[in-house]
Amino acid sequence: MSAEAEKPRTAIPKAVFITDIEAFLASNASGGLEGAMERFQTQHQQYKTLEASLAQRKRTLITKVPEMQSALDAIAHLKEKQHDSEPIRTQFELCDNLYATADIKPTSKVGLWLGANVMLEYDIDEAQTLLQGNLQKAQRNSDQLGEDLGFVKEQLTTMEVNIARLHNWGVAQKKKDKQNAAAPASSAAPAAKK
Amino acid sequence: MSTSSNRAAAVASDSEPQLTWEDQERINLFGRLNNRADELDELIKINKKRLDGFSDAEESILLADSDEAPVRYRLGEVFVEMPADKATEMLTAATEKVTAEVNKQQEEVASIRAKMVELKRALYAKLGDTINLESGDDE
Repeated sequence: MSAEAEKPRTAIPKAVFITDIEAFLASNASGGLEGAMERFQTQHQQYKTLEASLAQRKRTLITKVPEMQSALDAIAHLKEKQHDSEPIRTQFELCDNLYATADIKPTSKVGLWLGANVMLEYDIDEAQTLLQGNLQKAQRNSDQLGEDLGFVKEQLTTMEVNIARLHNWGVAQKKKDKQNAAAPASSAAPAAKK
Repeated sequence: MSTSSNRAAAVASDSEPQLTWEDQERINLFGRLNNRADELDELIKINKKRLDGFSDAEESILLADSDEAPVRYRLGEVFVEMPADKATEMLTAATEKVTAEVNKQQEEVASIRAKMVELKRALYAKLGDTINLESGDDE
């Protein structure tokens, strides 16, 4: 009754919004204020965990983007030089802080590291298309993850607001009970101040 | 959460304005935009650092002032020898690309901040001091 238009998306459940606290607690099967509070805390925690794992995935993806970009830059340079007669003089890092000079003959082939100890030779153009495709894919995935993260963040906020509202309601309720108990004794007293 | 309010308890049940789904949506959007703005700020910071690097490199090439001697330009993990003017050309291209990126990011941040101000105004008008929205731009 309290949840508004549920829109399912990428398997992440939507947080409930409480329209009317009293009606919500009355209709709530799992043990009144305390029960609802506990349930919200748990769900909040679950959203937090989800947020952390999505953020981690996005970070990993984002670190890969500059790597692909620099591979593309290198390929662009090789491509530019592929019909030159002069070799390209380079310095390669052999290990930390140790560089050796290497001449690269103009070439139309490059080896791409595919992972799992496999390297495959490609034509420069092919390699470029492949890497560009990967780069776009990474970008798209990262956008999608960003969307999901935004969605989770919204659910987290809803949860936080729910918890705060329930808490405040509980406090107000206690005060009211107390006042009701004291009311018959001193009805004329203005605003009880301790 | 309020520590101790010495307001009359009699009005407590009605003192808090009724929160509607629309308000909740506004709060959610605010939080989401706030996150995105922080993220963009981070990206802008990184890009500005790159731009600094480019301009330092360009300056160094100018200072070296040797037309014959090649410079070593770093491509990925490898240094590639090339004439100074070619390196300058590549630096200029890189600078342009990153500058365009930064501009786009700054535009997005500006429009996000504008939206946040709007949401803030609407929410404070409705909910008054029962809500506290941090813009996140005060570090």
